[in-house]
Amino acid sequence: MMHDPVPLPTTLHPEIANEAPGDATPLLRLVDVRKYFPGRRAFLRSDMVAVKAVDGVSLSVRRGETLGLVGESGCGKSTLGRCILHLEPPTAGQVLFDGQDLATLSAEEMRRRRREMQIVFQDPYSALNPRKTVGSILTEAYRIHGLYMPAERMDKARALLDMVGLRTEHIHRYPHEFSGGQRQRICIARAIALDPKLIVADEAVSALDVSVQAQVLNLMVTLQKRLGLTYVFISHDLRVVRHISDRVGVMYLGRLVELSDTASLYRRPLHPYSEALLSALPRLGPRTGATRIVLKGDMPSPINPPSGCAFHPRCPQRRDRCAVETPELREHAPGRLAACHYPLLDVPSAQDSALPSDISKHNNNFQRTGLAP
Amino acid sequence: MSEDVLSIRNLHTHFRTEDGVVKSVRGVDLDIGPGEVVGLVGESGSGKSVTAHSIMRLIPSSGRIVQGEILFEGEDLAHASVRQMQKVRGNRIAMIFQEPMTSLNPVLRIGEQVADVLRLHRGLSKAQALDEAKNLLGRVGIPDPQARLANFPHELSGGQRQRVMIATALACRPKLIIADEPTTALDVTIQAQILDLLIDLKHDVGCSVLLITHDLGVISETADRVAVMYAGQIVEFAEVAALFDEPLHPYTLGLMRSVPKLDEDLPEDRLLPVIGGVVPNLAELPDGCAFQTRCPHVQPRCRIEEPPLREARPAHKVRCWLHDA
Repeated sequence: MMHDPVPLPTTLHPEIANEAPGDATPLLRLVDVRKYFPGRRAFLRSDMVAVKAVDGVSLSVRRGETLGLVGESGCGKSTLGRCILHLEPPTAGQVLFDGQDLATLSAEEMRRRRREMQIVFQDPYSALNPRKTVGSILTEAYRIHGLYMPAERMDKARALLDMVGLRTEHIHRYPHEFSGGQRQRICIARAIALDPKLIVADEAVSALDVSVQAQVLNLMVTLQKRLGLTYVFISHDLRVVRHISDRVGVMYLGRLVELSDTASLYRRPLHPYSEALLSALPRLGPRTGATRIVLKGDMPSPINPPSGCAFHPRCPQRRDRCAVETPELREHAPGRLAACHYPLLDVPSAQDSALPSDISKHNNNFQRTGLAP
Repeated sequence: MSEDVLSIRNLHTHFRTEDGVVKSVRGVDLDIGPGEVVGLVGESGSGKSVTAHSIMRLIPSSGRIVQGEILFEGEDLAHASVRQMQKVRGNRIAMIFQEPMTSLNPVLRIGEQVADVLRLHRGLSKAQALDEAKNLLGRVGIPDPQARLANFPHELSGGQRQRVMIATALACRPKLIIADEPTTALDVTIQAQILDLLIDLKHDVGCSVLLITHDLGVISETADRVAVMYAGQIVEFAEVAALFDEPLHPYTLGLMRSVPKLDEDLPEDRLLPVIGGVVPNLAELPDGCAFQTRCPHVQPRCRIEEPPLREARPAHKVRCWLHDA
């Protein structure tokens, strides 16, 4: 056994208290999800240890909302995304989709369920089969699930292209004939082909140029409204996550360290890691000489995580207790959860006073530069 | 004003491809003063990396500098011989690439790689070179540099590897460092460490830096002056404060507006202002301004005549007919 079996929580989990009143069942609920991979402590050493890629994440996603998941490389956000879709079955814990535990489904039931949850990956170059035309790529899901008559399928594919802002006459083209942004639109079209409820977007706009990224983000927002989609939006880009998410979860070393509504998180993060992450982000606009929090060192290896709070070796606020006791994700203010013994509740915000902000007068610049429309 | 370290005049770099001649760089003029950090910002295909590689004469064989001068310490690098370039590269001009794992040799120890540069360009003995390598690693903030000398690149984290690259770049006390997307592959907290290090070292060493990036945030926190590139040309060139305070070119403005903000109220509909359309094909550019197909302020003149890069404000140049006084 790689680890002790994890008892399912019997008490009311804090996350449940975080659900909106009147929300019957959330579309997605994760209960203490863990994903451990076998790993070695050193090259050629035979003793195996559990690499805790995801280490006990609980959260829920409401219908129609966008939950952002942020964190740096190796924090487990992508693994969590794959666990949600059972592309990687979790080692322990439950993924409840529409109230149903995905682990209890038969293969046939799971196949049917998969129609309701889709994923969009970062790299549209490798996500599309280069030997298939766009039409073939988009109708594949219909063929697999035996939906519609063959003649109807191409019409459906044309409608999908139209929905994602591509020209329907390009249906016989191959992926290499499209630009990166257009290819990501094809991936999105494929994801919505089966009318899903949930889309997990794993760094879906990260490989795109700024101007193309804005176009694809707008497409995702428009489709969400039109089709009533729910998004789990995984990204390392804090700007993009703020723009698209209703709530945001911050991950560090396999754990959720903060979960909050977007506005509160960006205004005043509770966890020192979230604060450092936001502070490290380069601001738009000239240097003002303001100090930013620069964390020392790298993220520790999940093979050998630090004792107590995993963030304590890098934490500017750490105290003795942090090295010993692992903090639980707890509600510290309405709708605001953080896994920290000493959350930044009453401390004045570094963001407010010391940090420069993005310039916020671009709209006015239109007038000033004579570019007013 | 003292003499510029690097002065590029009317640089044109073209590539032969199946689709015809791709004009990647179309008449770039750029000056970098002593101790100055000049940022080159643009999207994929804007020509920013080709400009940098032209300076180092590292363009692939399908490409060629067809016109222009690259003046560096009295030498024209555009016409320098292979031998002359070998003396410049890694010595008087050093380069830092995006992906440190591919620029470091995976089967050589860190110490050997840094020491190699010192032995080649500064003629140090092996023992001297290793000792100096240790000092350099310490200087770029690598903990326990003596022990790291014996490590292989894969044993270091991405941030540490980029520090090794910076140490190698500094080894010969270059006059100019070209940093091509130096933090793009790094996480944001590590990016902050590396940017701080670059600025510190610039003050210490007094070298100039040409910083190439697609990230407007990185540019605004690091550069003194910024050149914005679009379709192979510099479309705007200004001091960093002036550029962000008052972007003059419609492309620069569009780019800034399409970056999601950190502190503004979100728009009700959650839609970002976008630049419509796509980047033009560099093999089939239209007459006139290259941005005409996407510009919200396009006039008949833009479709016929190409605007020159002209000073619209003191020390603020823009390539746009809107600012034609």
